[in-house]
Amino acid sequence: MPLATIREPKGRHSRAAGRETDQMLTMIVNEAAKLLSAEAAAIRLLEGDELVIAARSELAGPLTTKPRLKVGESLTGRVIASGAPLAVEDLLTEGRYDTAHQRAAAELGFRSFLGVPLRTNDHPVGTLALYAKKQRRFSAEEVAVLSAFADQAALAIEKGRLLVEAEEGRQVLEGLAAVGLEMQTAATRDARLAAFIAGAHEIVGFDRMYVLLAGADGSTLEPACAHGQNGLLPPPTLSLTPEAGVFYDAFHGRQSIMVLSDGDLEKIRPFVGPHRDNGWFRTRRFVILPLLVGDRTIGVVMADNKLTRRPIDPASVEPFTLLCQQLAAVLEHERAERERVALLRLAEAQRTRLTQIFESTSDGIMLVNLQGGIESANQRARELLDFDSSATADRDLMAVLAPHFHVAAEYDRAVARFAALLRDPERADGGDLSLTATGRVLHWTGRATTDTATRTIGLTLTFQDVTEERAVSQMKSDFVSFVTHQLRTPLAGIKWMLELAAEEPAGSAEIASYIGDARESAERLIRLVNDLLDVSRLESGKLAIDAQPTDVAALTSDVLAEVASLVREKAHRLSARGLDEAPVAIVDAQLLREVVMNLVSNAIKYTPEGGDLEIDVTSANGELRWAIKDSGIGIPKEAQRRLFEKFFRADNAVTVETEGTGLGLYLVRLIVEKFGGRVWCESEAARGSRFTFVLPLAP
Amino acid sequence: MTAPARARRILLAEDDRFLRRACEAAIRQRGFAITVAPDGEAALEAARRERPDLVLLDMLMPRLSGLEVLRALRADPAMADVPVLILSNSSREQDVAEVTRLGIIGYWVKSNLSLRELGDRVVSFFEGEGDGRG
Repeated sequence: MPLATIREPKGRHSRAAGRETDQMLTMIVNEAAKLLSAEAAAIRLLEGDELVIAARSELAGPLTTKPRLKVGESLTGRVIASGAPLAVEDLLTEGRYDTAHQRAAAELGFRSFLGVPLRTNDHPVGTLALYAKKQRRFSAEEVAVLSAFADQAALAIEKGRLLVEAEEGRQVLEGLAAVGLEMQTAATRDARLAAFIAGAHEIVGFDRMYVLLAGADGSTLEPACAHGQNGLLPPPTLSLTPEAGVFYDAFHGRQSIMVLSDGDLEKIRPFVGPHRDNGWFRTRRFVILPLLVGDRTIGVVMADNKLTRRPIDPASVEPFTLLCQQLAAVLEHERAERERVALLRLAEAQRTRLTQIFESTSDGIMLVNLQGGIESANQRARELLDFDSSATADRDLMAVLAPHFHVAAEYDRAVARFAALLRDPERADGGDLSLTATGRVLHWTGRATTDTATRTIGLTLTFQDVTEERAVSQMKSDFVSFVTHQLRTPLAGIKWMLELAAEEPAGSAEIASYIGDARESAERLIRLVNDLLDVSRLESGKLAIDAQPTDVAALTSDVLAEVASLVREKAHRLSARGLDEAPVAIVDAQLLREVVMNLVSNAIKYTPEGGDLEIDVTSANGELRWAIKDSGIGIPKEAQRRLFEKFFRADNAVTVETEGTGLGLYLVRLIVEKFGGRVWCESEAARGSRFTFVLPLAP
Repeated sequence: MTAPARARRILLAEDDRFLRRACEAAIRQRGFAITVAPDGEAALEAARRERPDLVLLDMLMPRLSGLEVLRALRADPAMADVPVLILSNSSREQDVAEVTRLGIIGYWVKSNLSLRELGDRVVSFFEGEGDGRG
């Protein structure tokens, strides 16, 4: 934006005061000349120690060929010097004054002269001079009249000056506003600084300017921009120590420092250090202003007129200060904005990370307000409780829970618990939720949620799927129960049988019977404990296994020999095939013996008297195949699936004999599988069963 | 207190043959008449048929468990008040709670009792009956 500029320092009565003033002055000289019957008149104004033509009447032209007169020089000069009117009756004869001028005037035909000073506030600011061609004695009235004209002229000049000042002031303010706007709207910091420097240069007109900004740790001043010495490298970074002289004082003292004279120069702290010979810092007339933001100093601005060596006008410092304030404000705003953006980004990043954690955690998390409304829920919570948070109906905790309960009483219980917690969130609570609809068990905890003002605004609920754990826990507890029962029963048997025996009179026949039963109970107990131990060790992998090439047929014959009496007792018919071959498997003989014993005993036990038992041992395809077929009670289809499970006893087996542990077939399976084999059963209720296992043959 | 004209009849439901034998002997020794049942179904049937004065009920039995037998008894108006005493070697909390809720005289763990104690308790049950404690 083009600015009308006042480049020279103030104090000059500017002839650019405007045409209006010029016109006024011209009118005055013409009027004065006319009224006082003089042929020529001129006004000179004081500038520094010189008088300069400001206005002249037409005929005064040749008289005023010297545009500048020194004070004291010539008649006009004396008027100013004395500050009093001066009249010369006859230039030709008057010998007291500047004869050269007089002669010049006389040559032009002028004989007399009257000059009066122009005064503003009692200061002489110029002269109004009349020249007449005749010899003339000027009367007091005429002097007074001319003085009146002079006063008018002075007034006109003053008015003009004020107008100019006002205009200048307005223009400066406009200029400042324009530069300020440019600085604010600039896109980058460099653009801001460039606008500042250019604007300052336009408005205030220093030859050289540079901006130094405090470094991040506040121990240095770093150059931000510079103007005015294109051939020179930019100013260097300064350390903010007393070595930096006036920079240090301006920065820490937060005061502008003006060095406009040698006297000022002597008063400032000298600039020493590595840069003292740098052209930017070698200057004897300068101003330096701190850039202040609140109670912080963010830098300094330095300006001088070193290139033209013009004096610095103190009055120019004020608009410069205003500009520097604007610069400081703009830079600070920029910094604050950068910080704000950084904080926003940080907050955003944190929020994103928290959301990721929130969504990825394996616990369900839900935030519930005090009315029971669901404010937010992560994906796991939605999975566990099977709701979709985009559906408005699924925004209420109680509503979300409802479909999971089949029994109203259970739902009510759960709801009551949550309701109580909502009424008193500080309490914190937790428990299990059995969702009967899905069969899931969730463990939940609830804690009060507070806002940043630590007011309670709701609950944070977490959910974990503990279905598995509760099931395992239940199984363990069931197991303990079962085993307890299994152990206690034979123990009670022993105890009671011995009690009965003890109460019999000596020699009673019953005694032997009772003791026999006690022993059998003891045997049962021992078998149970052994089985349990085997199972436990096999399951945990701790059983010491001695796998050797074992003749399975021989082992089978052995077992059959052992159960021979039992077979006879139950009058079973037993046949065995393949026992004269010798298929060899790598197994632990003792464990395999248990397997065979188990399967054979089962066949005997679960076949009613007079039944048929067939054993078949073969080998093919690198596998040994061992099977036993019986004509016994068979196994119902439903039970067949679970036959090899731990503790399982089919119902029809239980009716035959209630003393089984349910571990036998489980052990068989564990052992066979341990050696890389498989075991299975084919059966039909009441039509007998066939149990088969296969093992890899020894290579 | 009235001494009963007939001997009290007790129903014993027990699947283990040793325990059955011992219990039966001990109860008979005290002068009670006793019926034995080896499983839950037989027990329920015997209860309905004989209307015993006391049922000694095992929990873990084939066919019907002790709990199921008790439920059936309590659900039957004719049998709802029959005194039941649980004699079990299992002591699962939820079972104890459930049978207590259904109404029992007591819950005793067999291996923790001697036959003498068992007999004593049954006798004292009947003796206490007269003063309204049944």
